[in-house]
Amino acid sequence: MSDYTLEELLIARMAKEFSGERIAVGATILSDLSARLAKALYVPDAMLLTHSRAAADPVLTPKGLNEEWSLTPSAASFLGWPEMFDMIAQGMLQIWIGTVQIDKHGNSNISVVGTWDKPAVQLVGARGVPDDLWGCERLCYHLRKHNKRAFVDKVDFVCGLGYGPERNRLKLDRGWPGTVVSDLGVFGWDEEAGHMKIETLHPGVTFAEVQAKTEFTWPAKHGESFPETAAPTEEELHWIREKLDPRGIRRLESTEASDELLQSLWAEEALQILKTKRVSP
Amino acid sequence: MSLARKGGTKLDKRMDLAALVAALHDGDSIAFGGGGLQRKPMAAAKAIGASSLRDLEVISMLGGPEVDLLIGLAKVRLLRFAFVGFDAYGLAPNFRRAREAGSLPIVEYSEATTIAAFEAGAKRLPFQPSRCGLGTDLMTTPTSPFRTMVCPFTGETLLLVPALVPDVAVIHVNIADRAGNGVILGDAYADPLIARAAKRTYLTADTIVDELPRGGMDRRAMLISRLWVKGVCETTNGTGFTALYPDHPTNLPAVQAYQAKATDRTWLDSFTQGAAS
Repeated sequence: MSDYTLEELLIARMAKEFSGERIAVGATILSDLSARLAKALYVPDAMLLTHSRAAADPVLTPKGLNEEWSLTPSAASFLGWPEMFDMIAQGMLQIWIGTVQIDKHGNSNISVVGTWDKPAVQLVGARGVPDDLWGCERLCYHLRKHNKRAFVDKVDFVCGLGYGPERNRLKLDRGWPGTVVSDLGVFGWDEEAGHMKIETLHPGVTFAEVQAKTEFTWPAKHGESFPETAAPTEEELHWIREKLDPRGIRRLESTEASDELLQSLWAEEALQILKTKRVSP
Repeated sequence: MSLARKGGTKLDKRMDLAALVAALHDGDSIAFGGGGLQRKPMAAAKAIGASSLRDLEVISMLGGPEVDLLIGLAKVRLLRFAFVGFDAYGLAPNFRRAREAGSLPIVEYSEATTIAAFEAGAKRLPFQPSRCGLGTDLMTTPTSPFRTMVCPFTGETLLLVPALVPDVAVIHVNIADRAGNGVILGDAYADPLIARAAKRTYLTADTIVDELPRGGMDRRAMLISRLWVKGVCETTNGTGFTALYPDHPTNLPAVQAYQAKATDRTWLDSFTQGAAS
């Protein structure tokens, strides 16, 4: 990977999952940029939203840390939360979820690590994942670091339901596990077996490395080769670097990430916001 | 006086934070507005935290520092939530510590089931049917409030979300008037709904005017009608270090200072007593 970064590769790859006239969002910085890239190049009818989800349908703007300020000025409509969940219930949301755990059957967890009564790590709670499960066609997942704590045999708490008997019992035909990406590769599903499989590996990544960093056993043979994740095109790189993220917010989800970087990106933006005084209603 | 000036109300629901705190009781359920690090009623949460109130049931669909503060000050008997955290800036330190010690009783919801609970509450119905939560561990927790039933119309198994009718809702708005009308300019989250579900709703606002302009606000504004509102408190920086669109973004250095120090009770007490941030 010489001419582009891992982050740019992931943004370009994640952008390919969006389609149609639906809400396109990502809960991580890279996946949210991928929604913008999708709208710019592939899905002009996609509807973007602020991270908090109120200001809806803005034009393309550079990614910021305070999206209400960057997106509201060009928003065409404004959603209340009850209306947003009506849209979700009717399949109008496409989302990349930043899950903490995912297991071999596609169950996902952002609530607790360990037992629920007395967790080893209390995360944030199930949030909207159980709701997306009953609305979205597929749940796509972006995991920043591929390791055995993230790609687990069995999640500690089910926020999003994967393949298996419970899904069959409920006759749940929505919220299917979708594409999963990590810093090592892109993963999909053997639908018959209800098991995660490798789609592509990022340049320089080997199957042995993926297996060593995964708690469950992949249904693949050692020595088996996998296609390489496609490199971003010149056009995609141009959009990411020059138009959608000229300030490099994407570095916050790279190995460059640091408190200092976050603070300097924040300070630059906060100054700009506070300089532009509001107009009273 | 011309006819156009008649018909306005003379109601004056202004009160200070001390009066708001005095209107609360030990054991009350209190729902907070805002989401994560956005438009949290921090001045009100601090006033509650600094009072002698105890055994509170705190309800926050998307809890942030207001929830974390009251947990750290040992005010919370029970927490109902779909999320508690500091958004992109990390986890909530006192929530995390209390949960990992096994000492904080919680009821875990999703966002849509929280909204369903408030919708049922606002209509004074016992429950609202949903599908959200089915197939997940929200159904298996020992405190899960959800039940299922077979739909008499379709035969489908549905999840029932019991109504939430908080004793009190506390919501920060951008601007309010004396009569209790409130305007939210940024993301309203579930706040207008919470105001309708609660038995008593109090607004805080940095600006309280005699009367809001008539004939419609900015088209993006969310309005909370005075009929839902018992009192309005004027605050100075009522949202503390959380964001208030369009006035100020989240104050990251203050957030990071809180995250680093808030599990130190001495620091948290002085933070609670302090006026700003």
